[in-house]
Formats: sequence, C-alpha cells, structure tokens
Amino acid sequence: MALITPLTRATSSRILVVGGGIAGLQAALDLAELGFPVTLAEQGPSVGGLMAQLDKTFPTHDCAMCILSPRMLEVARHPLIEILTLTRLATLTGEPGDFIATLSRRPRYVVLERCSGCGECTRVCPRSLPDPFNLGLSRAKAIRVPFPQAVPQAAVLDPGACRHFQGRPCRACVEICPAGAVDLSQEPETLVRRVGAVLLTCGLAPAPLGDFPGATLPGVLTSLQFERLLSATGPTGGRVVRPGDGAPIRRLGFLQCVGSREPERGAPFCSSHCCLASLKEAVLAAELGPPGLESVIFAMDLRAPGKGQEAYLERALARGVRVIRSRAAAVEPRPNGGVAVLFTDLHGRRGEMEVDLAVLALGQRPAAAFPELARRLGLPLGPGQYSASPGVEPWETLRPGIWVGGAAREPGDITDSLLSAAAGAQAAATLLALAPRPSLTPAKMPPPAAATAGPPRIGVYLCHCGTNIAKTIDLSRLAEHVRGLPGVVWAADPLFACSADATRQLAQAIGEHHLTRVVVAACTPRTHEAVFREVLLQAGLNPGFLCFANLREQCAWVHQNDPEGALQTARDLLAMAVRRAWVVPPLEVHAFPVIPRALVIGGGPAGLTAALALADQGFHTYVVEREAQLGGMARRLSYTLEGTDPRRLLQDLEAAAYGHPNVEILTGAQVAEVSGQVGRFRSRVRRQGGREVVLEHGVVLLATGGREFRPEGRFGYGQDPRVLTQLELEERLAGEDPELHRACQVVMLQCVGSREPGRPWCSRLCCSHALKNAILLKRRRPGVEITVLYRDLRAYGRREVYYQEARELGVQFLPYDPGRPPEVSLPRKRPLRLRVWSELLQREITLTADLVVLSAGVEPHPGGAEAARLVGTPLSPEGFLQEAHAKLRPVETVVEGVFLCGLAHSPRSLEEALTQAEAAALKAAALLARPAILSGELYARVEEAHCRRCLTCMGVCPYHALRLGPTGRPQVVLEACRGCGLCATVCPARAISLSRATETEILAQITAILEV
Amino acid sequence: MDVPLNLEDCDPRFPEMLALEPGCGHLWRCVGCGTCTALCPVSAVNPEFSPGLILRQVLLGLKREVLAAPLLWQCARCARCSYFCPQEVRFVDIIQALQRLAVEEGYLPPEVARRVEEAEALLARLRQRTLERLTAPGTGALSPREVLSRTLREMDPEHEGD
Repeated sequence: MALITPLTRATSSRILVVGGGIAGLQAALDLAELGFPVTLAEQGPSVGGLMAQLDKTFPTHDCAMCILSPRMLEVARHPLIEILTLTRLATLTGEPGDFIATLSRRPRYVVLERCSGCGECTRVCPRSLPDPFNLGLSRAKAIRVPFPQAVPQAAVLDPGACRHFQGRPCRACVEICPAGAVDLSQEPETLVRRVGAVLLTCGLAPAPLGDFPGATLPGVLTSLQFERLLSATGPTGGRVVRPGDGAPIRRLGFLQCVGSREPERGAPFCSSHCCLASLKEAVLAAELGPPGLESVIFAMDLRAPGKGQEAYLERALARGVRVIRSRAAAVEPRPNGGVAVLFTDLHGRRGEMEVDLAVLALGQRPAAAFPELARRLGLPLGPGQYSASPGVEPWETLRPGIWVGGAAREPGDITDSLLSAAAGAQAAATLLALAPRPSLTPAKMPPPAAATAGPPRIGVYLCHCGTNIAKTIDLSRLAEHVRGLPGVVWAADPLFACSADATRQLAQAIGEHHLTRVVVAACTPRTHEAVFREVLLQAGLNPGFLCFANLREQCAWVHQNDPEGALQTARDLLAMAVRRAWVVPPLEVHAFPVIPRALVIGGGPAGLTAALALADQGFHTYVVEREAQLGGMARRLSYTLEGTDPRRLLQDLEAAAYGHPNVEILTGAQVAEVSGQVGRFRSRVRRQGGREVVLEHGVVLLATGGREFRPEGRFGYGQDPRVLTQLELEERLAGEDPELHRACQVVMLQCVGSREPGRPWCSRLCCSHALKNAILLKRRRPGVEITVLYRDLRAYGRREVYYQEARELGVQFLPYDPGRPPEVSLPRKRPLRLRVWSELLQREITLTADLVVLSAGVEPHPGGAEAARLVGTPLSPEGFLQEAHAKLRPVETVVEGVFLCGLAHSPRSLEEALTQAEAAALKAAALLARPAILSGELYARVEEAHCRRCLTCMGVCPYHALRLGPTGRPQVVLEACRGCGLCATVCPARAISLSRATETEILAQITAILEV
Repeated sequence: MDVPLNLEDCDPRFPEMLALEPGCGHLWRCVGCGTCTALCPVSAVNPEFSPGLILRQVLLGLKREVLAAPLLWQCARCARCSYFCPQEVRFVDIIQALQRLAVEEGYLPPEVARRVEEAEALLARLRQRTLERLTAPGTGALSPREVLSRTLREMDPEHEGD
C-alpha cells in the first residue's frame, strides 16, 4: 500500500484537472472546497462530458442534464476554479509540488468575455453539418453554442465546416454579432501553469463499431444515439420513432456486448455500464413510446451487480422487458425498414427476431485523448489502453504527483467514475496538504439590510438578450408600462444585462437613484441570479433584495408567434416581480464554528483508509471499532483476484493508523449516543469494562462493514463438513489444509443467499470470489475438476479477464435456472451428489463432488443499522446504509456531516471499498477545512408563540433539522436545514415559515397578477 | 431426453485431448455466447445443427454423443463461426478434428467418410457450375431448380470419368 506523505516543500498548491466531464467537475469542486486552486482543462468547447448527452440516468431516472448542469454552473462560479476549454495538456515538467504544465488552447473564434450565447450567429450561418451533440441525428450550424446548457455559455466556430476557413467570402456571423464577439483571426495559444499535482479525468468514448454485421443499416442505432432519441432536447424532441423514415417502434432490440468481452477485438473486459443502460433505455422507451412497445435485451449475462441494480432489473422484467440469454451476432435488413437480430436460443438453436429498431449497446474505451496523453506523460498503459496502476489503489500512476480518475482505469458507470476521481483528488490533496493555499476571502457576509423605512425604491432592468427577448417582446413599451408600477423609480433596457458594461451601469444606478430593490427581467435565475446578486453586493445592497423575472424561457421563447400576448404575459411577470420586491426579505446567512475532528465508526480497511486520509490532512480522527482487533471482514481474506495481498494491506493500514499522531483508535468500543449536528457532534463511546468517553467532532464517517451470509441448512451447509462457503474455502486455501488435497471434484454454487426472496440483492463479490478460488485451486492442482453452477456470471470490468483465465484453466461453467435450483444429496461415505437441470441440453445433469462450495451472499453488519439510528440516517430496503443520491452523492447521507463508505454502503471489493473511503474522506475534509459552516439562505423558522407542540414537523423532516427545544417546542438546527419546506406545509398552526419564498411574497405576487 | 446425464460417465479428458489437435487450442475459451450458431448458414437451414451446442457437449466430455452424431458431418466449412467468434475459438478446426476422431475411433466407417468427402467435392462443383450457368448471358427463363437439376445431370458422366 502506498501511503502518501504530504510534501513539506511544495511551490504550488494549484491542482490541474484534465477533463471536464462529471468526474473532473466534481473533483475540481471538491478540491476547491478544500481551498485548493484548480485549473480545469477541457479539450471540448464546454464542460459536461458524455453525461450531457444522456437522457435520464440509471437507476433514479433523474434528467441527466438537470443534475449535471448545476454542477457545471457551480464550477463556473467558483472563485478558485479556472476553466480552460478547447485546451489540452501538452507537456508536464518538474516534480510533484512544483510541476510546470504547458497547455495548448485551440481558437474558439469567439471572444468568451463578450459572447452571451444569444444565438444570432447560428441563425445567420449558412453552413450546416451533422450535429455532433446529437451524434449525427440532426443538423447543426458551423458556429453554435454546443448545447443549450453549455458552460461556458458561448458559441464556438468549427473551422472545419466554416465557409470563411474554406476560402469563401463569408463573414455573416461577424457582422450580425451584437456584441462584436466573433473574431476569425484568433490563433492557437500556449498557456503555462505552475501546479503541484495533476488529476487525469479524461473520460471515456464509446467503443468502435468494428465489423459488427449490419451495424450501418438504417434500422440500427448506437446506445448513445438512442439516448439522444429519448431526450426531449434530442432530434425528435423525445418521440420514440425510427430515425430516417419516422416509422413507429413496436419492438426494440438491445444488443449487448458490442465492443465488450471480445478479447479477439482488443476488448478482454466487460464495460460494466451497458447492461444497466439498456435496461434503463428499455424502461424509458416503454414510458415514452406507443402503448405496448416491447423491448428485448440480448445479453450473455445480465450484469446488475451494484446497489439497487438487481431491484431495478426485477422491476424492468415485471414491466415486460425481456432478456434473451445470447450474444446477438448480427442484424440483417428487412423490407419494412426494420432489422432481424440473429442469436442463439436457450436450447442452442439459431434464432431470428424482427425488431423495428436495434440498439447496439456499445462498450466503452478510454477517451482517445487519454492513451496519447499517458504516453506523453510517460505513464504505462494496460490492456485496452487503460491506465495500469502499480498497486492496489487504481487511481495511482507510476509517476508521483499524477493520479487518474474516472473511466481511465477500468470501465465503469458515472458513480464509479466519481468515486475514483474523488480518490485521486484526495491523494492530490494529501500530497499538497502542507502547501500554501490562497487565503480564502473571509466568508461573504451580506451587508446590513438597507434601511427599509419608507416605501421601497425599485429599479427594473429589462434585458434584450440580443434578440432573444427583444424580437418577441416590445421592450420599450414594456419599460414604459413598468415605470408606472408602484415603487418603480428607475427602469432601463440594455442589450445584454449581464455584460460587464451593463452590470456596471446597474451598480451606478443603484447608487445614483438610491435604489433599495432591484428587479431583473432577463433569462433564468438558474444561470444568472448569482451574477446580479454580486452586482447588488458590490453596490452595497443586500443581495436578497434582487427579484428575478424570466422573460426569455418563460415568455419570449414560448410565445414567439404571439408578440401581443407575450407583451401581456411579460407585464404580468413584471407586476409580480415588482410586487414581490416590496416584501422580499434580505438574505441572512448564519455562521457556525466547526470542530476540526472526525469520528470513524468501524475499523476495517474502509474505516482505516478514511481515517488515515483525514489524519494526513491534519484532522484529528477517532476510530471506534467494536471488536478487540481492527480489520473487520477483511481479516478473513488472504488473496485478491488481482494478486495483491490483503493481509499485507491490512497490516500496513493498521501500522500506519497506530503510528499516526492524528489517529486515535478505540477498539472494543461502541458508540452509544450521538448528539449535536454537523460541525459540532458529541458522541458517547462505551469502552470494554463499561468506561465511557465523550468525543467531540465535526463529522461522522460510517464504515460499519458487512459480513458473509451463513447459509445454515441450505444445500447441507452445517450438516456435512464437505459443504462450505467461499470464505471458508479461502481460509482453508490459506491454511494449506491437507483435506483440500484429497478433493478431486469441486462444485461451486452461486447466488446462495442472493437474488432470492427475502434477500433480493446481488452480492456483487461472489462471482469474483468463485473465480478467485477456482483459479487458486486449479493453479495448485491442475487435475482438480471444478464446476461452477451460476445464474449470470457477473464478472464486471476487468474481472472478465479472470473469467477467461478460469475457463482456460479448465473450470466448467454451467448455468442453472433459479426456478429449478440444483439439489444436493449428502451420502455419508460416498462423494456428494448434485442434480441440476440444463436448459441447453434439455436434461438433468448429475455431478459428484468432494466439496460443495456455496457462494454465500454479503449482508450488512448489524452495527450499521445501530449507527444509522444513532445519527438518524435511513437504511436502504436491503438494510445497507442509504446514500444521499445513488448516482451523484454516493458517500454522503441525508444527514449533513455524516458520510459512509465500504460494505456498510453495499457489497464491494476491497479495492472498491478503499476507493469509496478516500472519496468519503475528501468530502468530510472539505467540511472540516471550512472556517465556519454557513446556513443555507433558505431555512425554516418556528414562530414559538403559534406553535402548539404537536411535533408533526419533527416527524416529517428528512434531515433531522428539527430538535426539541427547552420549551418543549421544536427548534430549527440551521446548519442541517435545507429549506425544503416540508415542515411548513404540515404545520397545522402555520407556525413555521421559510426564510425566503414566504407566504407574504407569494400572496403579494398573486395579488399583483389579479389586479392587472 | 429424460435420462439424467451423469457427468461421472463423461470423459473429462475428451476436451483436453481435442485441445491438442491443430487449431483447437482455444477450445476452453468458449463462453457459450452462441455467435457461431447465430451466424452459421447450415444452422439457418437445419436448426438441429448447432456449433455452440457441439462445443458445450465437447466441454462436458460427451464424447460418444458428439462423435456418433451424424450432424457432425453437416458443417459447410465456411468458417464464419471462427471469423466472428469473440473468444478466438476456431470451430471450423474443431469440427474437422472431431470428424477425424470419429473415423479414427470407429464411430464412422472410413469408407463412409470417404464418400462424404466425395459428396462435398461434388457439391462444390455443382454449386460452382450452377451459379456460372445462372449468371451466364442468355440463360433464359429457367428456374434455379431447373438449372440445378440440368447441371447435375450433365455432371454425371463427368463424375464417373473422374
């Protein structure tokens, strides 16, 4: 295990993140939260990466863009993050702590500072080309904003398509641009940054189509193209029809493993995400498509090994999605424009199925830029051009100071990418923990609310947004109307309200006209509220006194064909905004101190890794372990599939933890009570012998672990010593048990205590565990016959390589049908006998065995549920700890300041548990590093006088932000409150209100619109 | 088949023995994906013939069942199975090794095997000539079936002369 020692001499604390997809964005944000300046280099024209092209995400069905775009904007706004688009890392010299990064930037031909993304240039551009964002399913212009939510929100010119760059006299975009932002004379630039560490999150690319027979037929799309087809912003506006002829789709075929699990074609691995993507697309298509739309997935093994994934599979099957257990080999054209899928059925017979549209579930590869970059940086590559790491930590590279994250090490999904990028970021943060960081400007305190005596003096800013708003709404007439509204003392209508010039004028107007409230009528507050709040703040006005009206999305764009109606709606919207301005409260942010110490519950590898990561960053960390010894379930492991030594790893971790001055270990101890809240927790810990200690800490990390299910009474377990579990076999292998040498026939039985009623989850690890033990046995004694009885062999990611190795060593794999599970008989003096039905051979097979090894599932340690109860965080239906968001917040819980990692979250390999522990430590460190915790601007308030003490509010609060106060009435814990408003809606006495969006504001707006 | 298949009665050395034959080394890699069968032109005509099923039977050690099956001689040796196999299993080599073994071990008399070879050669020639005739100018309105039977008739004496 490579422990990172913070550099005592680092010249730069800046961290270079290469790649602005979701993994890079989140890593940049997390690092910036820790106070590190970040340069985010993205080679495309916008950040967002591949996720921006997805329709909805698995398994939550969140709109992908809706959860991605707030992060893109947050990165763009963060004072410590510099975004460089169209930029690649050219060279890196120097050493960790003091690298010189040379970056080369391609010309955008548009001046970022001037462009507002109004789209005029796109309108007049005469040149169209297949839209890369919609993967060729629609047309786009040579100059365009890459996609509606792009960050930066600016146009980019494609010189490969532009007429001007082909020597034709065209300057249409230059002439029309109202901001004078198009500059055709831009040249490539070289930028130099001094950085302390580098994180490569270059992302992934869909696998090449290769020579898949029929791939180019019109009735065939790739999975990413199909995502665009499903998307409301896609080529058909979300209508599920066949592109080209627009034919309705009654049956969809999803063809798995195109570009995966093909050692012959350079892909010896499983791409991990595609089974789940196809399941999701099948479910979404059924929701969006015509009634009765049928989906068929052709897959060798349906791999859904992650948390909640099996449950999703079950739901999809219940909704009629069909799975055919075969690799589809080809598609052939059919006269109606559809295609026939060629496959092999369960009985080994050739089959053909006609579908209206076939979706090729393309596997993944590292983005093309990664192998090339790795070579330039001298980083070795492994199979499939993935990064090869020297040790157990996949985010490591051979070059100190450089880490990889995201999809560059192993195929995975969005959450895997986030976790590995966070682990890499955490390593970088540890390396630079002692480097001088820029002194953060002290938490922005809003200025005292301007005197509210007398009627408000309201200023209104009406934005033309180029022509976006002005071409539909007559802004001079609107301005005239607005000036007559009560309280309005000033109004103006600039071309672009957000331009540097216009914001300066607004700030001046606030001073000159003594404005006390500002109404901005422009685009969406989602992107621009922050810009104008900043203006108010600088002009000395509380930023809460800004009211926004969205004239673009909510009026001009939707009423393009009705200018008169649009004007009327705009008047309504402004009347509401102005009336709200009368009563809108100022912003008040409360600051609370943080105790810079952490409590880790659980001393297994995940807990210890997280504790060391925090300790290295300088935070005192308590580790509470209920057993007398550290190590948890990992103590029972002796081997890993990849060949690293888990015992060694555990020894190293223990030694490092016991030796670390910032780590305090309490073994044989249990947490009895946790009180307080984020930043200021207080825990009572009961030690052996009944002594108690009280710990004070700012965060809690739950690493309570898991354990192997004991299949008592199943298949003879507990009755016959020849029936054992995989962990027991591993222990015997490690102990060189002579009994094992007498075993000539071994049968392994998968999914014991997994994927069955009562224990419906997939335990993820057991397939790999069986492969590991089978390979170990075969290597020691090639003569031993091993048969693995399985349902789906879930050797995801690089594990596929070991599946192949096991087969090459002669291990037999026989699928069984869960409806007809194998039966074991236990004769006393003769070998064990198993009977299993083979659907392929259409007959029963009997096997004899000297050992039957049950791949018993993984279950959460009961300590997890206890800890969850103490901190007030919920459990998943399976009894594991529930994360805040399955996709994007995998290590946070709904309780602010409480994080989770390891088997407590879900079954996962040692490597995956360590990755998640580093990610959890990074999040926790960001919180502990803050000088103070600020409440959100939106929070609940309890009017004590009206409260009837029914405590209904306390029952509904999902964040445990309401506590019983000394008067027996609930009090709001401001640090924990997220302002969701649930309490306010259930309070029968209407004693609870929110700090903003108050009833007064809403009633004022309703009154305004009724008066107009 | 109602009789349970007892793996004890199977020959675990059968796949090992076969893997030593030329081109059969990757036999063990088979993952049972079915690409071979799905693309097989013989399977398209005769659903009983399944390269994937034969491979499974081989791996389970069902030696007698595999070698005694007349289906073994249906392969057209087009090698599509081997070109498209994602695991580099060369079924076209495997089935030829199986055919050799079937003769060597007495599952098919050598005389019959020779006649099968002859028939294959005849079919190949018949195919070539039929297609030549069909694509030649001025063939008229003869149906493929008629062209085929005429070609066969004309080939008869030629065959005797070989």
